[in-house]
Amino acid sequence: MKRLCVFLALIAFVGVNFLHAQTVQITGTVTSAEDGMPIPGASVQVKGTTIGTSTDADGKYSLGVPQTATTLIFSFVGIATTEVEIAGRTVIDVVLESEFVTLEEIVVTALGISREKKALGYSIQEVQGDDIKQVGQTNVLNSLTGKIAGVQITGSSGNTGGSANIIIRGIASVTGNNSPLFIVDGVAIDNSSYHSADAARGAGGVDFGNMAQDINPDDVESISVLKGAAASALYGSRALNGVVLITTKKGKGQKGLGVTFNSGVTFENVAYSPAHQKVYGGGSIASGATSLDGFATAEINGTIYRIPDFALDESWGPKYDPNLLVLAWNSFDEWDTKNYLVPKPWVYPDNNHLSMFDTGISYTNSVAVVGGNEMGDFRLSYTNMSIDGYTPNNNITRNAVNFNGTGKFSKYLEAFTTFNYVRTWGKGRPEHGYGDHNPVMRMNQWGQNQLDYKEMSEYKNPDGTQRTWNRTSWSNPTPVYSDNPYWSYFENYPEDLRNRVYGNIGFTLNLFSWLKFRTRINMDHYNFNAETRVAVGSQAESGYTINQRVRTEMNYEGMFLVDRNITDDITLNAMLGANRMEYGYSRTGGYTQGGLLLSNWYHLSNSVVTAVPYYYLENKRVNSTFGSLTLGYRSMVYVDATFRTDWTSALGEGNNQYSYPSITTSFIFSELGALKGNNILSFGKVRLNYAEVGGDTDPYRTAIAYNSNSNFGSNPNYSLPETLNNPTLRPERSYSYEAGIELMFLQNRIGLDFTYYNTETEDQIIDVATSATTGYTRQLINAGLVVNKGFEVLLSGTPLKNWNGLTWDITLNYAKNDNMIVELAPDVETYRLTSLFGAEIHAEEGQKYGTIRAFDFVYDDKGNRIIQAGGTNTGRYLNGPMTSLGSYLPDWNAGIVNTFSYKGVDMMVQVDMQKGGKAFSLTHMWGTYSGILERTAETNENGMNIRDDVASGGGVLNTGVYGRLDSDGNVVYTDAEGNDVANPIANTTYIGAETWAADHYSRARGPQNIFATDYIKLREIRIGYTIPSKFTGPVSNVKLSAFGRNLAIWGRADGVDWDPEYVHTAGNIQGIEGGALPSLRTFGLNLSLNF
Amino acid sequence: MKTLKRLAFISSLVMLLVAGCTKDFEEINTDPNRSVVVETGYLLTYSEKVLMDWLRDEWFGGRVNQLLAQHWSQRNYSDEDRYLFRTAVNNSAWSIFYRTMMNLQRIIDLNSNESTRVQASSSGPNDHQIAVATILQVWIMSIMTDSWGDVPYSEALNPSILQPKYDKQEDVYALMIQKLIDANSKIDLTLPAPNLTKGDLIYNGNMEKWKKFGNTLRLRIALRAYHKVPAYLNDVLTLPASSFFESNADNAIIEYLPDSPNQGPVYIAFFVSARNDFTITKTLTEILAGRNDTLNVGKNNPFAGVVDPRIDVWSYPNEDGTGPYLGQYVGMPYGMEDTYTKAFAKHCPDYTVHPSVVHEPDFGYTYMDYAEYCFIMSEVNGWNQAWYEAGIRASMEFWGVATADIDAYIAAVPAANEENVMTQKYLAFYMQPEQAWFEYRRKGYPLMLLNPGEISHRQLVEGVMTDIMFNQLEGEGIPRRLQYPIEESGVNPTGYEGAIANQGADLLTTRVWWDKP
Repeated sequence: MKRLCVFLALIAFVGVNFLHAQTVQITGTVTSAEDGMPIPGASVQVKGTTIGTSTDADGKYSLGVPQTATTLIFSFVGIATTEVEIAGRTVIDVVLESEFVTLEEIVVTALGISREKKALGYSIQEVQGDDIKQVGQTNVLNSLTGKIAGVQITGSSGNTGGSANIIIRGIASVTGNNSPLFIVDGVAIDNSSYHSADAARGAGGVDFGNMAQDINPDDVESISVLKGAAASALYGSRALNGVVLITTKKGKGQKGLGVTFNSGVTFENVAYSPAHQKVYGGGSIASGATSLDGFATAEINGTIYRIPDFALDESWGPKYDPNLLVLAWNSFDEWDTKNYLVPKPWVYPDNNHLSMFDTGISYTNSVAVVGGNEMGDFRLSYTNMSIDGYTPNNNITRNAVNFNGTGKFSKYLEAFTTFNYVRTWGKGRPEHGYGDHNPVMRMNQWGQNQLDYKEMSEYKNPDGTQRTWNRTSWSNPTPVYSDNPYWSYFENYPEDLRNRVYGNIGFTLNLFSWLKFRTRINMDHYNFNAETRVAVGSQAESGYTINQRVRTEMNYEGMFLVDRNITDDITLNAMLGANRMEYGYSRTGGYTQGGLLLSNWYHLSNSVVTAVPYYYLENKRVNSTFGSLTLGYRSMVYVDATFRTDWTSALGEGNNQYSYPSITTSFIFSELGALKGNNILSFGKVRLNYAEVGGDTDPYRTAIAYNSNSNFGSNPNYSLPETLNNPTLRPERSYSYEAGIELMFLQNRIGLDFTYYNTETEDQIIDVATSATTGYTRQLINAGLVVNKGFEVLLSGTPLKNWNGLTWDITLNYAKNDNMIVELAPDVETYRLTSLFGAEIHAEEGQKYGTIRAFDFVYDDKGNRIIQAGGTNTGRYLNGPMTSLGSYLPDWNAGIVNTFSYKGVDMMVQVDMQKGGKAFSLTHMWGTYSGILERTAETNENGMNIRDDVASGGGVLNTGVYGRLDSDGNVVYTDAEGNDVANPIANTTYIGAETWAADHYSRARGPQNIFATDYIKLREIRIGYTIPSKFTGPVSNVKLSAFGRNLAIWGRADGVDWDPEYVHTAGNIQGIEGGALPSLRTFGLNLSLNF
Repeated sequence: MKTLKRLAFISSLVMLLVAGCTKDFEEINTDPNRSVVVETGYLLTYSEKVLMDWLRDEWFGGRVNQLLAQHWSQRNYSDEDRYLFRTAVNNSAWSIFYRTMMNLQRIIDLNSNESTRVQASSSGPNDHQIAVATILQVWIMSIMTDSWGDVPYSEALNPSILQPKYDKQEDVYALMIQKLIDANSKIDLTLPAPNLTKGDLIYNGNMEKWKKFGNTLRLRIALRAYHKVPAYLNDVLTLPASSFFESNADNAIIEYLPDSPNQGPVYIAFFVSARNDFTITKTLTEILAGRNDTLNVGKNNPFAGVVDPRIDVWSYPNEDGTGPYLGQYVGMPYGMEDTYTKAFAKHCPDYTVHPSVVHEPDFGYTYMDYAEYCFIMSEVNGWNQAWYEAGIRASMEFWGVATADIDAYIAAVPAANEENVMTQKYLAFYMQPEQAWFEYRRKGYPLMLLNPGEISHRQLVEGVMTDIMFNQLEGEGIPRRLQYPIEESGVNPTGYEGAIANQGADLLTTRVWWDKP
C-alpha cells in the first residue's frame, strides 16, 4: 500500500513540472439532436493529439487546445464520431445525432467525482429528482422504495414524519450500524435515529424519524446509490453499508436569471387498519345474583341500571342488542346533563374507532432562483412544507433553504459552496407500538368495541381532569389502564424542534488542464430538541422529559485530481487526498421524577422530586489518506484501484491505524472491432471488483468507567457498567467481491444489468452477550463473520418508442440477498437483539440475521400439532419450546416501474413486492386475546358464532391430534380422554372462544401470531402533463401532476388487516409489530413552473 | 504559476502530516461522562438497594417468588401463577444478582489490592468492607442456589473465564459457610464506631450488627443443608447467643425513601408503574382468618378458628355492595385461568384503593430478621414452645400488631410442633416469599398450599356450579426449583450442560441437592 501511495504522489508532483506550449481554451456544449438535451460524457479530442476531455453532466466541456490544432473530434460510444473544424473559434457547440443518449450517463461516484457510467467496474444506480419531488414524500428515502435493486427501504405510511429504514445488500454488522452513509454534495449527513430501546422493539415511544429526512426532496437533482464496498471504499469505514449520494440542484448551465415554482398538496387517509368484530361489546359477561343480561347492575338514586365492565380493557362483553339499555362510560358525571344517567342501547357505535382519524393534508411550496454567467452560477431555493396529520393534534412544519454557488475567479481558481438550512418543528407525532400513549394500540389490542369515539372526544371534565372509558368502577372514574384516546393526543403529546445547517465551502485550483487541486470544508450540524409530556391526571405518572441533542461533524478534505491521456489509447485518472473528520455530540436535558407539581406546566423545575439531568458528551476524530488510480484503454477496458488509511481516536494505541484497498475492472466488449456496429447487441460490458473496508467503533469503548445512578438520599450510588470495555479492540474488516454484466440490445430497446456480489464482514466489534456469571452481561470483543451474497437484476425495455407519439418504458428490478451469520463469537451461538412478550429477535449462528424466536406448537413426526387431552384442557394446543420461526429479513424484493409519455403527458406506474420476511404481531396476539378483532366473533363450521356455548355448537376446533409429552419429551398419542393410544386421533373437542383467544398468548404464541410480510403493492401512480409553451406565455415548463401512493396491497395477513410494511423505528431491531399505526393511502397534486 | 505550485506542494504536505497525526487521540477518547475512580461506599449503596429493587419488584418478586409462596396471586393474567414464567424475568433476575455480586467483588478487590486499599479505606476499614461485601454476596448466593440449584460460584465473577463451571450445590454450600466464617473473623469490634463511614443503608455502618447478620445467615444456610451436612449446623450453634440476632432491632432491613426515585419496589409497581396486578391469595387469607380449605378434603388449617391479627395489616374486609362476600376477608383463589381471575378479582383486596403498609413508599424490606432466628431456634431445639412464641411475637411486632392482640393470639394458637412452627414461619416470611417457598420445599408446610390439580375455586359458569381447577401450565406440582435462564444455555453451554449432568434435567420438577432424599 505504501508503494502505491508513493507512486501516486510522484505522479502528482512530477506532473507539476510538465508545461505545455501555448494553448487556446475552447468551450462548448454538446447536445442531442433528438431532444436538444445536453449529452454528458461525450468525448472531445484534438485530432492528432492525446489532448482530450469529456463533457460534464450538463454536456459542457472546456479544453486547452494547442494553437496548431485544426480539428476537434466529438465521439460517443456506439455511434460514429463527428469531426468539427476549429476555424479560430473559442466556443464550439455541437449537436449530435444520437439515439443512445441514455446510455452515456455521467454518474456521481465516490467523493463527488463525476464519471462515465460505462467506465465503472461496479454497480451503481441513479434516481432523478423529478421522481422524488412529485410524489409528496417528506422523507426522501420513502420515494426510493422499490426503485433500486438491492436497496430495501421500509417505511410506515401511518407514522407521519417517522422513520424509514434502509438496508443495502443485507445486514452486515451484528450489533453496529447498518445504515448506509448519506452524502449530500460531498457532505456526510448524519442519519441517526433517536428513540428509546422500547420504541425500537415495538414497546412504545415516539419516532422522531431518521435524521436523513432533513434532506429536502424539492432540492434533489439526483440520487446515486453506491451499493458495494468497491464503490464506497474511498469514504472509509462508514461506507461499509453503501453510500447514498445525493446531488442537489445547481445553477450550472443557467444563462441569466430564472425562477422555478413548485407547489404540491397531498391528502392522506387511513386505508388499512385491523378489522374489529361488531357483534359483542366490551368488558366481560357478569353472572350471578347482582347481574342482569350479562351486565353487572348498580342501584343509583333508587334505579337499577345495567353497567358494562368498564374496568376490563377487553371486548368479551354481552352481545349487542338495541333493546338492552345500559349506562355508558360517560353517564356518571352530573355536569354532563345530556348523558348523566341516560341509558343507551347496547349497540356497535355510529362513530367507531376509525372516526378518530382525519384526512391528513400536507402542503409543499418551493421557489428557486437560479442565475449564472461566465463568472459563476448559483441556485437559491426556499421550501415550506407543512403537514396536518391524520391523527388528532399532529402538525409538522419544515422550512428549508438551499444555496449552491460557484464562482470562477480566474482560469485557475474556482470557488464553490453549498449551504442548507432546515428547520423542522413537530407537534404531536403519534406514539406507536405497545406504548401507554398510543391510542391505536389501545383500540386494537386493549379496548372495548362499543365505544363511540365522538362521545369520547369530550375527554375532559369542566375542572380539567380526565374522563376515560376505562373507569375503575362506575363510581370511581380513575383510569385503570387506558387514558381516553383524545386525552392521549391532546394532553400527552411530544414536541420537537430541529435546526440543521449543512454544507461546504471550497475551491478548486486548475493547475493544468490535467491536474486540479480541490479542497473543501464540510459541515453537518444540528440542534435537536425533543420533549415528551405526560399530563397530571393521566393513567401513568405525570412527567416531562427534554432532550437537547447537538451533533456536529466537520470534514476537512483536500485532494489532487489527475485526468489525462497518456497515449492515444490509454487514459489516466488519479486522485490523492487526505481528510480529517471531527465529530462531536452532546445530549443535555433531563426528566422529572415523582410526577409534576403543577398541571399544564412542562418544565424540569416542575418536578415533584428534583429532576434528573442528562449530560452526555462524545467526541471522535478520524484522520485519513486515500487515493485512486484509473487506467482506461480505448474506452474499452478500465482498471481502477483505490486505497485508504484511517487513524481513529476510538481504538487504542497500536490498533488505531488500518488500511484497505480495492480494485475494480470493467471491459466494454461491445467496443471490440468484431462487435462494433452490431445490430443486435448495442452495448456489452462485464465488471469485476474486489474491495476491503476497515472499520472502527464508537468512542469510549476501550476503558472501564463507573455508572452514576441517582443518589439514595444523601448516599451517592455508583455501579460497574453492564458491558466490559476492551482496551485491545481491533478494527473490523469486510471483504467483498462483485461481478456484473451489462447488456443492451436492439438499439438500446432492451437492457439487462446483472450483478452478483459476496461480502464477508468479520472481526466485528460486538458487545457480545456473556454469561452474567462472569460479572458482566456483555463484553466488547472482535468476533463474528457475516456473509451477504446475492444478485441483482435490472431489466429495462422500451416496448413502444414514439409509436404514434407514445413511448412506454418499463424497468424491472429484482434483488435477492442471502444473509448468513456464519459465526458470532467463540462459544456464542445466539445473540438476542430484543424481546417483547415472549417474542425475541436474535442473531443466530448458522441462520439469517433477525430470527424471531417464540414458543411453538408441539408437533409429532408427521407434522401434526398436538392437542391436549383429558381434563378441562382437552382441545387446547400443547405449548411447545421456544423455537426460531423465521427471520424478519425478506428473501427478495422487486419493483416494476412503467413510464409512459405521450405528447406532454407522462405517466408512471410502480408496483413493488417483497417475499420471505416474517413479523410477530402483538396486535394480532392481544387483539385476539382481548376479543377485539373480527376473528374473535367469527362463525364456526357449525354455523354458530364461536362465542356461543360449546354445548350448543359454538366454540373453536383447533387442528391437530390428541397427545401428550412423556418425561423424555417425546410425543405420545392419546384419545380425547387422555388414554395412550398407538395411532393419532384427530381433535374433535371444541373449546370456548375466550379460552381459544387467550391461548394466542399462553400456548404456541409464536406460530399463532407470526405472519409473512410478503406483499405486492401498487405503490404509486403518477400522471403529469406539461403544458406546451405556446399556451403559457412568459412562463415555461408548466407541469401539472397528480399521484396516488399505497393504492393497493396484496398479501395482508389473515385476521389482521395490516399493511405488512411497517417500521417502528429505523435500525437493526425489526420484526416485532407492537402496535403499528394504520396504513395510509395518499393522493396528491403537484404544479411546477419556471419563469 | 509558481505560487500555485508552492501552494499545491504545501497542501499535500499538510494533508499527509495532518492525516497521520494521532497525538490527541488518547485525550479525545477519554470518556467525559463517567468516572474511572469511585468510592467503595458508593458501590455498597448501589448493591444494597438494587438487590431489593429486583428481588421485591413486580417481576421477579411479584410474578415469581410471591406466587411460588402463594402469598400473592395475580388479579388478571395468571400464566406465572400456573408456573409459566417469563424467560426475560428469570434472566434479568439472574443477571442483576450476579452483576451486583460483581460490584460487591469490586469492593473486595479494591480493599484487597495493595495499590488501591489505602484509597478504599476512606469508606471504612478495609477488612470491614470486605466482610460486609462478603456477607451480602453470600446472602444473595444462598437465594440463588436455593432457587436454581447448582450455580457458578467458585469461577464466577471473573470476566476472563467466559464459561464458569456450575458448582455443585454441596460445594456452593461449603463455600458459603467458609466465606461467612472468614467474614466473621475480619470484623474487629474494638474499632471505634461507626465502623463503616460510607454507603451502608442497612446498618449505617454498625459492624456489631453486621457480625450478627453474618452469623444468623450462616445459621439459616446451615439449617437448610442439615439433612445433608449436619456439621454446618452443629458448628454454628457453638457460637454464643450474642453472636446472633437478639431482637427486631438487629433485623437486616433497608428502608426506602418517601420520594422518587428511591421508593420501595412494591410502591413503584403499584403506584408508579400503576400495575394493579397482585392481591393476597385465598390460601394465605384462609390461614390468617382461621378457616379450613372447604373445597379440598383434608386440607385443614392448624390455626382453625383463630383469626391472625396480621390479616388487617395485609388485607381488609370485602366492601362490594350487597355481594355475598361483604364484610368477609376474601383472597384470590390461586391458579385459576385468566378467564376466571378477571371476574373474581373485583371481590379481592385492591391495594390501589387500600394500600397496606407494604405499599408505602418507605416500607422497610427485610434481608433477614429476628423472627426467622426464633423459628430456627425452635426447630433446632425440638420445636421448642418458647422460641415458637418468641417468633410469633417478633413477627407481629414487626408488622405493628398491638401487644394485647399478640398476647391473645399466642394464647389461642395450638402449641409448637413441626406443622405449627413451620406454618408460623411461613406467615412470618410475608414479604420474604422466596424463603417461604424454600422452607415449603424443605419441610412441606403449610399443608394448606394449593397443589396443581386441586380445586382452586367453585363458582357458577354459564349457570352451572363448576369446580375451577388449578391447572398448571409448566412442570408437575409446586416447583422444586427455577429453570436456568434460557440465555445461559447459549452463553455458557459447557457450564450449563455440566449442571444438568450433575443435578438432572433443567426442569421445575428437578430437586436441588438439599431437597433430594
